[in-house]
Amino acid sequence: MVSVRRWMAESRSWPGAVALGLAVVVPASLGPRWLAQGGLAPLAVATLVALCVAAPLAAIEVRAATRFGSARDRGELRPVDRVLGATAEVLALLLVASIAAPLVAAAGLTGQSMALGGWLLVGLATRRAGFAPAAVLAVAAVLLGLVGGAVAAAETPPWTLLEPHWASWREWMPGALAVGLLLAPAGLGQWATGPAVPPGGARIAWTTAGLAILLAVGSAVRAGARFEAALGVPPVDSLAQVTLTLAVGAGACAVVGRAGDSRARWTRVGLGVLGTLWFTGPAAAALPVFLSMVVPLGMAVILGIVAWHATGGARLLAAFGAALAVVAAGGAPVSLPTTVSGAGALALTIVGMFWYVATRAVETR
Amino acid sequence: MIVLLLLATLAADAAIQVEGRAVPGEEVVVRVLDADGRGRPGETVRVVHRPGLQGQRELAIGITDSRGQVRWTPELWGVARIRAGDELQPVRIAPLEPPRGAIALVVALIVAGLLGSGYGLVPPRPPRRRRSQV
Repeated sequence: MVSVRRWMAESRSWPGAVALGLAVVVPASLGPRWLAQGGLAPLAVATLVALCVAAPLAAIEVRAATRFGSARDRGELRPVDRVLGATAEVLALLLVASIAAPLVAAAGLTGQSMALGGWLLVGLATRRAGFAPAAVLAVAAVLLGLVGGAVAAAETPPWTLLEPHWASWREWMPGALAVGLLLAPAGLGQWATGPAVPPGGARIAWTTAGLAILLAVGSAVRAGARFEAALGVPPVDSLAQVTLTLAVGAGACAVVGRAGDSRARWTRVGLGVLGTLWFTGPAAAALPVFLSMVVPLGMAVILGIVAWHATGGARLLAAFGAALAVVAAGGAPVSLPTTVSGAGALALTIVGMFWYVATRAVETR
Repeated sequence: MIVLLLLATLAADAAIQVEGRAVPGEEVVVRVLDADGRGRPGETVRVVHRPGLQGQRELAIGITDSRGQVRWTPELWGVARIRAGDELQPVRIAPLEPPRGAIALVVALIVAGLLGSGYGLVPPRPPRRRRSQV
Protein backbone atom coordinates (compact mmCIF):
# COMPACT_ATOMS: atom_id res chain seq x y z
CA MET A 1 0.00 0.00 0.00
CA VAL A 2 2.89 2.33 0.74
CA SER A 3 4.33 1.74 -2.73
CA VAL A 4 0.94 2.45 -4.34
CA ARG A 5 0.66 5.74 -2.46
CA ARG A 6 4.18 6.64 -3.54
CA TRP A 7 3.24 5.80 -7.13
CA MET A 8 0.17 8.00 -6.83
CA ALA A 9 2.31 10.86 -5.52
CA GLU A 10 5.06 10.51 -8.13
CA SER A 11 3.17 9.33 -11.21
CA ARG A 12 2.91 11.74 -14.12
CA SER A 13 -0.32 10.07 -15.21
CA TRP A 14 -2.17 9.87 -11.91
CA PRO A 15 -3.45 13.47 -11.75
CA GLY A 16 -4.85 13.01 -15.27
CA ALA A 17 -6.65 9.86 -14.17
CA VAL A 18 -8.27 11.91 -11.45
CA ALA A 19 -9.18 14.77 -13.80
CA LEU A 20 -10.73 12.15 -16.08
CA GLY A 21 -13.27 11.56 -13.33
CA LEU A 22 -14.68 15.02 -13.93
CA ALA A 23 -14.08 15.00 -17.69
CA VAL A 24 -16.35 11.97 -18.34
CA VAL A 25 -19.38 13.40 -16.53
CA VAL A 26 -20.51 15.69 -19.34
CA PRO A 27 -19.89 13.44 -22.41
CA ALA A 28 -21.75 10.55 -20.73
CA SER A 29 -24.80 12.82 -20.38
CA LEU A 30 -24.95 13.97 -24.04
CA GLY A 31 -28.01 12.11 -25.20
CA PRO A 32 -30.35 12.24 -28.21
CA ARG A 33 -31.60 15.73 -27.33
CA TRP A 34 -28.11 17.20 -27.77
CA LEU A 35 -27.62 15.35 -31.03
CA ALA A 36 -31.04 16.46 -32.32
CA GLN A 37 -29.80 20.06 -32.61
CA GLY A 38 -27.03 19.46 -35.12
CA GLY A 39 -26.00 15.82 -35.24
CA LEU A 40 -22.27 15.34 -34.90
CA ALA A 41 -21.50 18.98 -35.74
CA PRO A 42 -21.57 20.18 -32.08
CA LEU A 43 -19.36 17.29 -31.03
CA ALA A 44 -16.89 18.09 -33.81
CA VAL A 45 -16.63 21.70 -32.60
CA ALA A 46 -16.36 20.53 -28.99
CA THR A 47 -13.52 18.18 -29.97
CA LEU A 48 -11.67 21.00 -31.71
CA VAL A 49 -12.06 23.25 -28.67
CA ALA A 50 -11.02 20.43 -26.34
CA LEU A 51 -7.78 19.58 -28.15
CA CYS A 52 -6.76 23.06 -29.29
CA VAL A 53 -7.89 25.27 -26.39
CA ALA A 54 -8.98 23.26 -23.37
CA ALA A 55 -6.04 20.85 -23.17
CA PRO A 56 -3.43 23.66 -23.45
CA LEU A 57 -5.47 25.59 -20.84
CA ALA A 58 -5.33 22.59 -18.55
CA ALA A 59 -1.54 22.52 -18.99
CA ILE A 60 -1.48 26.18 -17.92
CA GLU A 61 -3.60 25.33 -14.88
CA VAL A 62 -1.11 22.58 -14.03
CA ARG A 63 1.62 25.21 -13.76
CA ALA A 64 -0.62 27.26 -11.47
CA ALA A 65 -1.16 24.16 -9.31
CA THR A 66 2.44 24.15 -8.14
CA ARG A 67 2.11 27.66 -6.69
CA PHE A 68 -1.36 26.91 -5.33
CA GLY A 69 -0.29 23.66 -3.67
CA SER A 70 2.85 25.03 -2.05
CA ALA A 71 1.02 28.14 -0.81
CA ARG A 72 -1.72 25.95 0.64
CA ASP A 73 0.83 23.71 2.37
CA ARG A 74 2.46 26.76 3.93
CA GLY A 75 -0.91 28.19 4.93
CA GLU A 76 -0.25 31.29 2.84
CA LEU A 77 -3.13 31.26 0.39
CA ARG A 78 -4.13 34.70 -0.83
CA PRO A 79 -7.83 35.64 -0.97
CA VAL A 80 -7.90 35.24 -4.76
CA ASP A 81 -6.48 31.72 -4.44
CA ARG A 82 -9.08 30.84 -1.82
CA VAL A 83 -11.76 32.12 -4.20
CA LEU A 84 -10.26 29.87 -6.88
CA GLY A 85 -10.32 26.81 -4.63
CA ALA A 86 -13.82 27.44 -3.31
CA THR A 87 -15.25 28.20 -6.77
CA ALA A 88 -13.65 25.07 -8.19
CA GLU A 89 -15.08 22.99 -5.40
CA VAL A 90 -18.67 24.26 -5.47
CA LEU A 91 -18.83 24.39 -9.28
CA ALA A 92 -17.58 20.83 -9.73
CA LEU A 93 -19.86 19.51 -6.98
CA LEU A 94 -22.97 21.18 -8.37
CA LEU A 95 -22.07 20.14 -11.93
CA VAL A 96 -21.96 16.49 -10.84
CA ALA A 97 -25.15 16.93 -8.81
CA SER A 98 -27.00 18.60 -11.71
CA ILE A 99 -26.06 15.83 -14.13
CA ALA A 100 -27.06 13.17 -11.61
CA ALA A 101 -30.42 14.87 -10.96
CA PRO A 102 -32.29 13.54 -14.05
CA LEU A 103 -31.16 9.99 -13.20
CA VAL A 104 -32.43 10.41 -9.65
CA ALA A 105 -35.69 12.03 -10.78
CA ALA A 106 -36.40 9.16 -13.18
CA ALA A 107 -36.20 6.67 -10.30
CA GLY A 108 -38.61 8.54 -8.04
CA LEU A 109 -38.32 8.08 -4.28
CA THR A 110 -36.00 5.12 -4.73
CA GLY A 111 -33.71 7.37 -6.69
CA GLN A 112 -33.51 9.90 -3.88
CA SER A 113 -32.58 7.16 -1.42
CA MET A 114 -29.98 5.87 -3.85
CA ALA A 115 -28.60 9.38 -4.29
CA LEU A 116 -28.09 9.70 -0.55
CA GLY A 117 -26.55 6.24 -0.35
CA GLY A 118 -24.40 6.92 -3.41
CA TRP A 119 -22.85 10.07 -2.04
CA LEU A 120 -22.21 8.36 1.33
CA LEU A 121 -20.55 5.50 -0.51
CA VAL A 122 -18.38 8.04 -2.37
CA GLY A 123 -17.34 9.56 0.94
CA LEU A 124 -16.41 6.17 2.38
CA ALA A 125 -14.63 5.01 -0.77
CA THR A 126 -12.50 8.15 -1.02
CA ARG A 127 -11.72 7.94 2.69
CA ARG A 128 -10.28 4.50 2.17
CA ALA A 129 -8.76 4.77 -1.29
CA GLY A 130 -8.35 8.48 -2.06
CA PHE A 131 -8.69 9.26 -5.75
CA ALA A 132 -8.46 5.66 -6.95
CA PRO A 133 -12.24 5.13 -7.29
CA ALA A 134 -12.45 8.17 -9.59
CA ALA A 135 -9.93 6.70 -12.02
CA VAL A 136 -11.43 3.21 -11.96
CA LEU A 137 -14.99 4.42 -12.49
CA ALA A 138 -13.93 6.83 -15.23
CA VAL A 139 -12.08 4.17 -17.22
CA ALA A 140 -15.01 1.79 -16.76
CA ALA A 141 -17.39 4.48 -18.10
CA VAL A 142 -15.17 5.10 -21.16
CA LEU A 143 -14.90 1.39 -21.96
CA LEU A 144 -18.62 0.80 -21.48
CA GLY A 145 -19.46 3.79 -23.68
CA LEU A 146 -17.19 2.56 -26.47
CA VAL A 147 -18.39 -1.04 -26.31
CA GLY A 148 -22.03 0.05 -26.12
CA GLY A 149 -21.62 2.26 -29.17
CA ALA A 150 -19.86 -0.44 -31.19
CA VAL A 151 -22.44 -3.11 -30.37
CA ALA A 152 -25.40 -0.84 -31.16
CA ALA A 153 -23.86 0.36 -34.45
CA ALA A 154 -23.19 -3.23 -35.51
CA GLU A 155 -26.92 -3.95 -35.22
CA THR A 156 -28.32 -0.75 -36.79
CA PRO A 157 -26.57 2.05 -38.68
CA PRO A 158 -26.86 5.28 -36.64
CA TRP A 159 -26.80 7.91 -39.39
CA THR A 160 -30.10 9.82 -39.16
CA LEU A 161 -29.38 11.26 -35.73
CA LEU A 162 -25.68 11.73 -36.40
CA GLU A 163 -25.96 13.56 -39.74
CA PRO A 164 -24.19 16.89 -39.14
CA HIS A 165 -26.19 20.10 -39.60
CA TRP A 166 -23.83 23.06 -39.71
CA ALA A 167 -26.43 25.63 -40.76
CA SER A 168 -28.08 25.63 -37.33
CA TRP A 169 -24.82 26.60 -35.57
CA ARG A 170 -26.46 29.48 -33.68
CA GLU A 171 -28.49 26.96 -31.72
CA TRP A 172 -25.73 24.56 -30.72
CA MET A 173 -22.47 26.57 -30.80
CA PRO A 174 -22.62 27.98 -27.22
CA GLY A 175 -23.21 24.51 -25.80
CA ALA A 176 -20.46 23.03 -27.96
CA LEU A 177 -17.97 25.62 -26.68
CA ALA A 178 -18.81 24.86 -23.05
CA VAL A 179 -18.69 21.10 -23.62
CA GLY A 180 -15.34 21.46 -25.39
CA LEU A 181 -13.85 23.21 -22.38
CA LEU A 182 -15.29 20.58 -20.04
CA LEU A 183 -13.82 17.65 -21.98
CA ALA A 184 -10.26 18.42 -20.78
CA PRO A 185 -11.61 19.55 -18.22
CA ALA A 186 -10.46 23.15 -18.27
CA GLY A 187 -12.11 25.87 -16.27
CA LEU A 188 -13.35 23.68 -13.41
CA GLY A 189 -10.19 24.28 -11.42
CA GLN A 190 -9.45 20.55 -11.21
CA TRP A 191 -5.93 20.94 -12.54
CA ALA A 192 -5.13 24.07 -10.56
CA THR A 193 -6.30 22.77 -7.18
CA GLY A 194 -6.19 18.99 -7.58
CA PRO A 195 -3.28 16.61 -7.07
CA ALA A 196 -0.01 18.16 -8.22
CA VAL A 197 1.39 17.00 -11.57
CA PRO A 198 5.09 16.12 -11.43
CA PRO A 199 7.39 18.00 -13.83
CA GLY A 200 6.94 16.91 -17.41
CA GLY A 201 3.45 15.60 -16.87
CA ALA A 202 1.37 18.51 -18.19
CA ARG A 203 0.69 16.60 -21.42
CA ILE A 204 -1.65 14.30 -19.52
CA ALA A 205 -4.46 16.81 -20.14
CA TRP A 206 -4.56 15.66 -23.78
CA THR A 207 -5.08 12.08 -22.64
CA THR A 208 -7.95 13.19 -20.43
CA ALA A 209 -9.52 15.11 -23.31
CA GLY A 210 -8.92 12.24 -25.75
CA LEU A 211 -10.61 9.66 -23.54
CA ALA A 212 -13.55 11.99 -22.87
CA ILE A 213 -13.92 12.50 -26.66
CA LEU A 214 -13.97 8.74 -27.21
CA LEU A 215 -16.71 8.38 -24.60
CA ALA A 216 -18.72 11.16 -26.26
CA VAL A 217 -18.40 9.48 -29.68
CA GLY A 218 -19.37 6.08 -28.27
CA SER A 219 -22.42 7.56 -26.53
CA ALA A 220 -23.44 9.45 -29.66
CA VAL A 221 -23.14 6.41 -31.91
CA ARG A 222 -25.19 4.32 -29.49
CA ALA A 223 -27.88 7.00 -29.24
CA GLY A 224 -28.00 7.22 -33.04
CA ALA A 225 -28.27 3.47 -33.51
CA ARG A 226 -31.06 3.14 -30.98
CA PHE A 227 -32.90 6.10 -32.53
CA GLU A 228 -32.67 4.40 -35.93
CA ALA A 229 -33.74 1.01 -34.60
CA ALA A 230 -36.80 2.48 -32.87
CA LEU A 231 -37.62 4.66 -35.93
CA GLY A 232 -37.49 7.96 -34.08
CA VAL A 233 -38.85 7.14 -30.64
CA PRO A 234 -35.80 7.08 -28.35
CA PRO A 235 -36.37 4.33 -25.77
CA VAL A 236 -34.89 4.29 -22.29
CA ASP A 237 -31.35 2.96 -22.64
CA SER A 238 -30.30 0.96 -19.61
CA LEU A 239 -26.67 0.69 -20.74
CA ALA A 240 -26.43 4.44 -21.24
CA GLN A 241 -27.87 4.98 -17.78
CA VAL A 242 -25.28 2.61 -16.30
CA THR A 243 -22.52 4.48 -18.18
CA LEU A 244 -23.84 7.79 -16.88
CA THR A 245 -24.03 6.41 -13.34
CA LEU A 246 -20.40 5.28 -13.53
CA ALA A 247 -19.38 8.68 -14.91
CA VAL A 248 -21.30 10.54 -12.19
CA GLY A 249 -19.65 8.29 -9.59
CA ALA A 250 -16.24 9.08 -11.06
CA GLY A 251 -16.93 12.81 -10.95
CA ALA A 252 -18.19 12.60 -7.37
CA CYS A 253 -15.09 10.68 -6.26
CA ALA A 254 -12.80 13.15 -8.06
CA VAL A 255 -14.33 16.11 -6.23
CA VAL A 256 -14.93 14.55 -2.81
CA GLY A 257 -11.50 12.95 -2.66
CA ARG A 258 -9.62 16.23 -3.03
CA ALA A 259 -6.87 17.11 -0.62
CA GLY A 260 -8.08 18.27 2.75
CA ASP A 261 -9.09 16.97 6.14
CA SER A 262 -11.90 14.49 6.73
CA ARG A 263 -14.31 17.22 7.80
CA ALA A 264 -13.90 18.88 4.41
CA ARG A 265 -14.60 15.55 2.71
CA TRP A 266 -17.91 15.08 4.50
CA THR A 267 -18.82 18.71 3.88
CA ARG A 268 -18.45 17.99 0.15
CA VAL A 269 -20.53 14.83 0.51
CA GLY A 270 -23.25 16.82 2.24
CA LEU A 271 -23.14 19.50 -0.44
CA GLY A 272 -23.34 16.80 -3.12
CA VAL A 273 -26.42 15.22 -1.50
CA LEU A 274 -28.10 18.61 -1.05
CA GLY A 275 -27.26 19.66 -4.59
CA THR A 276 -28.60 16.43 -6.10
CA LEU A 277 -31.87 16.60 -4.17
CA TRP A 278 -32.11 20.35 -4.89
CA PHE A 279 -31.87 19.87 -8.65
CA THR A 280 -34.13 16.81 -8.53
CA GLY A 281 -36.90 18.64 -6.72
CA PRO A 282 -37.29 22.40 -6.14
CA ALA A 283 -34.69 23.54 -8.69
CA ALA A 284 -35.57 21.14 -11.51
CA ALA A 285 -36.96 24.04 -13.57
CA ALA A 286 -33.67 25.91 -13.13
CA LEU A 287 -31.52 22.99 -14.31
CA PRO A 288 -31.20 24.00 -18.00
CA VAL A 289 -30.22 27.56 -17.08
CA PHE A 290 -27.74 26.33 -14.47
CA LEU A 291 -26.00 24.00 -16.93
CA SER A 292 -26.08 26.41 -19.89
CA MET A 293 -25.27 29.69 -18.15
CA VAL A 294 -24.15 29.39 -14.52
CA VAL A 295 -21.57 26.65 -15.12
CA PRO A 296 -19.87 28.49 -18.03
CA LEU A 297 -19.85 31.72 -16.00
CA GLY A 298 -18.20 29.87 -13.11
CA MET A 299 -15.62 28.49 -15.54
CA ALA A 300 -15.00 32.03 -16.78
CA VAL A 301 -14.26 33.13 -13.19
CA ILE A 302 -11.80 30.29 -12.68
CA LEU A 303 -10.07 30.87 -16.01
CA GLY A 304 -9.92 34.57 -15.24
CA ILE A 305 -8.05 33.84 -12.01
CA VAL A 306 -5.73 31.46 -13.86
CA ALA A 307 -5.08 34.22 -16.42
CA TRP A 308 -4.28 36.59 -13.57
CA HIS A 309 -1.63 34.17 -12.30
CA ALA A 310 -0.20 33.38 -15.73
CA THR A 311 2.16 35.49 -17.85
CA GLY A 312 2.82 36.03 -21.52
CA GLY A 313 1.14 33.68 -23.98
CA ALA A 314 -0.36 31.56 -21.22
CA ARG A 315 -2.19 34.61 -19.91
CA LEU A 316 -3.58 35.33 -23.38
CA LEU A 317 -4.79 31.76 -23.82
CA ALA A 318 -6.37 31.67 -20.37
CA ALA A 319 -8.10 35.00 -21.08
CA PHE A 320 -9.30 33.61 -24.42
CA GLY A 321 -10.68 30.57 -22.61
CA ALA A 322 -12.50 32.81 -20.15
CA ALA A 323 -13.95 34.78 -23.08
CA LEU A 324 -15.11 31.54 -24.73
CA ALA A 325 -16.87 30.56 -21.52
CA VAL A 326 -18.59 33.96 -21.34
CA VAL A 327 -19.70 33.59 -24.99
CA ALA A 328 -21.01 30.11 -24.18
CA ALA A 329 -23.01 31.51 -21.26
CA GLY A 330 -24.29 34.56 -23.10
CA GLY A 331 -25.26 32.78 -26.29
CA ALA A 332 -26.99 29.81 -24.69
CA PRO A 333 -30.42 29.35 -26.33
CA VAL A 334 -32.22 28.76 -23.07
CA SER A 335 -34.88 30.90 -21.47
CA LEU A 336 -35.06 31.82 -17.81
CA PRO A 337 -37.62 29.94 -15.69
CA THR A 338 -41.12 31.24 -16.24
CA THR A 339 -42.51 30.20 -12.88
CA VAL A 340 -41.92 32.01 -9.60
CA SER A 341 -40.63 28.85 -7.97
CA GLY A 342 -38.19 28.17 -10.80
CA ALA A 343 -36.87 31.71 -10.79
CA GLY A 344 -36.58 31.64 -7.01
CA ALA A 345 -34.73 28.32 -7.12
CA LEU A 346 -32.26 29.67 -9.67
CA ALA A 347 -31.67 32.78 -7.59
CA LEU A 348 -31.19 30.71 -4.44
CA THR A 349 -28.70 28.48 -6.25
CA ILE A 350 -26.59 31.44 -7.32
CA VAL A 351 -26.82 33.07 -3.89
CA GLY A 352 -25.88 29.78 -2.25
CA MET A 353 -22.83 29.40 -4.48
CA PHE A 354 -21.76 32.98 -3.79
CA TRP A 355 -22.21 32.48 -0.03
CA TYR A 356 -20.18 29.25 -0.12
CA VAL A 357 -17.31 30.88 -2.02
CA ALA A 358 -17.37 33.98 0.15
CA THR A 359 -17.29 32.07 3.43
CA ARG A 360 -14.49 29.81 2.18
CA ALA A 361 -12.52 32.77 0.86
CA VAL A 362 -12.48 34.54 4.23
CA GLU A 363 -9.41 33.56 6.21
CA THR A 364 -10.34 32.19 9.62
CA ARG A 365 -8.13 33.25 12.46
CA MET B 1 -32.34 -6.44 -37.25
CA ILE B 2 -34.75 -8.41 -35.07
CA VAL B 3 -36.36 -5.15 -33.96
CA LEU B 4 -36.79 -4.08 -37.59
CA LEU B 5 -38.42 -7.39 -38.50
CA LEU B 6 -40.75 -7.08 -35.55
CA LEU B 7 -41.66 -3.56 -36.55
CA ALA B 8 -42.28 -4.67 -40.13
CA THR B 9 -44.57 -7.43 -38.87
CA LEU B 10 -46.46 -5.01 -36.70
CA ALA B 11 -46.68 -2.55 -39.57
CA ALA B 12 -48.52 -5.15 -41.62
CA ASP B 13 -51.55 -4.68 -39.35
CA ALA B 14 -51.25 -0.87 -39.10
CA ALA B 15 -53.56 1.66 -40.82
CA ILE B 16 -50.71 2.82 -43.03
CA GLN B 17 -48.65 0.27 -44.91
CA VAL B 18 -45.62 0.79 -47.09
CA GLU B 19 -45.18 -1.87 -49.75
CA GLY B 20 -41.62 -2.32 -50.84
CA ARG B 21 -38.31 -1.14 -49.49
CA ALA B 22 -38.19 2.65 -49.15
CA VAL B 23 -35.10 3.99 -50.89
CA PRO B 24 -34.57 7.54 -52.27
CA GLY B 25 -35.50 7.73 -55.93
CA GLU B 26 -37.42 4.45 -56.05
CA GLU B 27 -41.19 4.39 -56.07
CA VAL B 28 -43.13 2.54 -53.40
CA VAL B 29 -46.84 2.20 -52.71
CA VAL B 30 -48.38 3.58 -49.54
CA ARG B 31 -51.73 2.08 -48.56
CA VAL B 32 -54.10 3.67 -46.05
CA LEU B 33 -56.59 1.23 -44.53
CA ASP B 34 -59.70 1.66 -42.47
CA ALA B 35 -60.65 -0.36 -39.39
CA ASP B 36 -61.95 -3.20 -41.56
CA GLY B 37 -58.72 -3.44 -43.50
CA ARG B 38 -60.15 -1.85 -46.66
CA GLY B 39 -58.44 0.96 -48.48
CA ARG B 40 -59.47 4.54 -47.56
CA PRO B 41 -59.85 6.69 -50.66
CA GLY B 42 -59.38 10.46 -50.67
CA GLU B 43 -56.98 10.53 -47.73
CA THR B 44 -54.21 13.14 -47.81
CA VAL B 45 -50.87 11.48 -47.13
CA ARG B 46 -47.83 13.44 -45.98
CA VAL B 47 -44.33 12.45 -44.89
CA VAL B 48 -42.22 14.11 -42.19
CA HIS B 49 -38.51 13.53 -42.71
CA ARG B 50 -36.26 13.61 -39.62
CA PRO B 51 -39.13 14.09 -37.14
CA GLY B 52 -38.08 16.15 -34.13
CA LEU B 53 -34.56 16.71 -35.47
CA GLN B 54 -32.78 19.64 -37.04
CA GLY B 55 -33.60 19.65 -40.73
CA GLN B 56 -37.14 18.32 -40.23
CA ARG B 57 -39.13 18.59 -43.46
CA GLU B 58 -42.76 17.82 -44.16
CA LEU B 59 -43.64 16.96 -47.73
CA ALA B 60 -46.88 15.99 -49.37
CA ILE B 61 -47.03 12.55 -50.92
CA GLY B 62 -50.51 12.76 -52.47
CA ILE B 63 -54.13 11.70 -52.06
CA THR B 64 -55.12 8.06 -51.96
CA ASP B 65 -57.07 6.65 -54.91
CA SER B 66 -60.17 4.45 -54.85
CA ARG B 67 -58.10 1.57 -53.57
CA GLY B 68 -56.62 3.65 -50.75
CA GLN B 69 -53.21 3.71 -52.38
CA VAL B 70 -50.82 6.46 -53.33
CA ARG B 71 -47.45 6.17 -55.01
CA TRP B 72 -44.49 7.76 -53.29
CA THR B 73 -40.92 8.34 -54.38
CA PRO B 74 -38.85 9.23 -51.28
CA GLU B 75 -36.58 12.22 -51.78
CA LEU B 76 -34.53 12.02 -48.57
CA TRP B 77 -33.06 9.15 -46.61
CA GLY B 78 -33.34 8.52 -42.88
CA VAL B 79 -36.08 8.04 -40.34
CA ALA B 80 -39.43 9.50 -41.40
CA ARG B 81 -43.08 9.44 -40.39
CA ILE B 82 -45.92 8.98 -42.83
CA ARG B 83 -49.08 10.77 -41.76
CA ALA B 84 -52.60 10.14 -43.03
CA GLY B 85 -55.31 11.83 -41.03
CA ASP B 86 -54.64 10.97 -37.39
CA GLU B 87 -52.52 7.92 -38.11
CA LEU B 88 -48.75 7.94 -38.04
CA GLN B 89 -46.43 5.28 -39.36
CA PRO B 90 -42.69 5.49 -38.78
CA VAL B 91 -40.55 4.26 -41.64
CA ARG B 92 -36.85 4.04 -42.39
CA ILE B 93 -35.68 5.18 -45.81
CA ALA B 94 -32.36 3.45 -46.39
CA PRO B 95 -29.68 5.59 -48.05
CA LEU B 96 -28.47 4.54 -51.49
CA GLU B 97 -24.94 4.55 -50.17
CA PRO B 98 -23.56 5.08 -46.67
CA PRO B 99 -23.40 8.81 -45.81
CA ARG B 100 -19.75 9.61 -46.35
CA GLY B 101 -19.83 12.91 -44.48
CA ALA B 102 -21.13 11.42 -41.24
CA ILE B 103 -18.86 8.38 -41.51
CA ALA B 104 -15.83 10.57 -42.12
CA LEU B 105 -16.73 12.71 -39.12
CA VAL B 106 -17.09 9.69 -36.83
CA VAL B 107 -13.74 8.32 -37.99
CA ALA B 108 -12.10 11.74 -37.57
CA LEU B 109 -13.45 12.10 -34.03
CA ILE B 110 -12.28 8.62 -33.06
CA VAL B 111 -8.83 9.32 -34.51
CA ALA B 112 -8.71 12.67 -32.67
CA GLY B 113 -9.61 10.95 -29.43
CA LEU B 114 -6.99 8.24 -29.92
CA LEU B 115 -4.28 10.72 -30.92
CA GLY B 116 -5.07 12.95 -27.96
CA SER B 117 -5.02 10.00 -25.58
CA GLY B 118 -1.75 8.75 -26.98
CA TYR B 119 -0.01 12.13 -27.05
CA GLY B 120 -0.60 12.63 -23.35
CA LEU B 121 0.97 9.28 -22.46
CA VAL B 122 4.16 9.81 -24.47
CA PRO B 123 6.90 10.78 -22.00
CA PRO B 124 8.58 14.12 -22.75
CA ARG B 125 12.10 14.09 -24.14
CA PRO B 126 14.78 14.85 -21.56
CA PRO B 127 16.53 18.18 -22.20
CA ARG B 128 19.70 17.92 -24.27
CA ARG B 129 22.95 18.34 -22.43
CA ARG B 130 25.18 21.12 -23.66
CA ARG B 131 28.60 20.04 -24.82
CA SER B 132 31.19 21.30 -22.39
CA GLN B 133 33.72 23.59 -24.01
CA VAL B 134 37.28 22.32 -23.92
